[in-house]
Amino acid sequence: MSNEMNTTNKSEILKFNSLPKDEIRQISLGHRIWGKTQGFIYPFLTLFMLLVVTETIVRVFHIRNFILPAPTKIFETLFQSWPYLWTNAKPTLFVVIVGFTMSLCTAVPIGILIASSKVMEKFVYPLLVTAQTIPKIALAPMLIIWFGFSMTPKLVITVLISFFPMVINTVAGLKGVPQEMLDLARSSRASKLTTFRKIRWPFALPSVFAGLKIAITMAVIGAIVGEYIGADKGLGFVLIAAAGRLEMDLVFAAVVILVAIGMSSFYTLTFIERISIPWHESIRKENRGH
Amino acid sequence: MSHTNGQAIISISNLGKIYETPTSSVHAISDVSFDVEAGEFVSVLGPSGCGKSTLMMIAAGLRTKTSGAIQVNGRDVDGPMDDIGIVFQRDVLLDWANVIDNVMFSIEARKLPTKEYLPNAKRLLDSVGLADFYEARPYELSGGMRQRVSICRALVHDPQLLLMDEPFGALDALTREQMMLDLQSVWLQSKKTVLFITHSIQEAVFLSDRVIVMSPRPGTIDLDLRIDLPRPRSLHIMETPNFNAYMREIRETFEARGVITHV
Repeated sequence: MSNEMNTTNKSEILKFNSLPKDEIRQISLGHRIWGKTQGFIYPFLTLFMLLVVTETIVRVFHIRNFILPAPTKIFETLFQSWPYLWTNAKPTLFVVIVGFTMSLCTAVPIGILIASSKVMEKFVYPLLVTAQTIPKIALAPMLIIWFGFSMTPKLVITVLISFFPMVINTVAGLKGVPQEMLDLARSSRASKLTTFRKIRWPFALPSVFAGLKIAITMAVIGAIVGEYIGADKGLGFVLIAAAGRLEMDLVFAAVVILVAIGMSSFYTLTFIERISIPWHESIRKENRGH
Repeated sequence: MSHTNGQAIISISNLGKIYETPTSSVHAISDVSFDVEAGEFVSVLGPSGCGKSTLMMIAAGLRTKTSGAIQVNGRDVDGPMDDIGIVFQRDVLLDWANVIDNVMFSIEARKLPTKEYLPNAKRLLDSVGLADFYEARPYELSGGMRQRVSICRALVHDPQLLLMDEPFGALDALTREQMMLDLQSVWLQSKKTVLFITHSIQEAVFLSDRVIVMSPRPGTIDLDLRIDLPRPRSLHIMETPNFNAYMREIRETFEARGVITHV
């Protein structure tokens, strides 16, 4: 199958000069749809098989619900307790999105500052690394004392936990600009702003996106950690409460929703990335279907 | 282009460059002196590591000199100047911009009026056979096409002086010959002053009015050879006795220096 795709692909490139643009787009669109379907089928097949195996084990060995709930039981609970779960998913989703956005709006500018000033790098960078090595959960009781049981401590933890990968990747991206490109800018007497807008920032974008994609998954963890330590709503609260009552099917149902939140936010970012940097090698490779 | 022949566009005297690293110092070039006159095509030819690229970078104002003097257009070089176009070893195209925007980067960076220079960009691209590729992205082009775009970018603001640092070094032999012809025709039309850095004897003799041969590090001038061949030159000129005599003279200079040795 992949061989067949490779040959079409080569002939597509060979025909590049003679083909009108529309036709090229059609071919690659066909490839893209096939590539995407293929991309979805395999992980779902794997997942489905895992679920079947689990279901079989649970039924054959009569494993009790509070040890390992059967997948069918989990889905049953997911549908039956949907209103309860959805009510509690909303505050978590809120914390993930707002916390991630706040983190993004501070982390990227700080990354830019660090990358463009030696002084900032010397003063701020070591502090950031120190801050990153503090286990966030250790701060949690203090945050509760300071901010009470409101949304604030959850947001603070989410911001703290998702902050670091974004700063690091922004700095790495901006610092990775090849000397030749900077020489080009300097020899063209480009201003600092032009150099940033036209060269440094676009060059760093793929790396920034890599940071965002790590950070969004961290943000989901941050929100749950925040809710673990003190909350009366949210999926983190559901997890604690259900586990306390040994309702493992409800725990797993909440986990399924968390996975859905994590994955959909991750793929939203991937989608934005595809639109923003279609020129990048990684995106081009995917569009070619391998 | 009102400059008459005989006026020095680049004037270099006793130029030296030492790279200092924490552990050692590298003497890149030493006591280099020569002038490049208006409208002249001058090649600097030398073995790798002889400091010829350093020389160009200093002329471009992108690296500092350690000793001596260098003037471009009668002004001491202390930073990048406006009236220069540079073609780098690698094409340094921006993947996130299409071909025309890559060329226009020169204009935007210099804050020149975009509208006024757009026709110039298109004319240049047309002249190197890229008329159908204004909207193409750099990664859709071949190596030769990419380097053509970067030459257009160096010329679009109509500089008087063009500095080229082994621009065809990364290209295959066939593409390289085509590029030599294209560069010659662009140069014949525009009559820019060109300082061309290369390690190919053939390329240097074919393209140049003058070839300056540098010794291994620390680079000094071993030979300053005037190439008296009629223009425009076709590829067949490489088979003529005159052309080969020039090639031989340069090769013998390298042999005398031990750059090329026979077993």
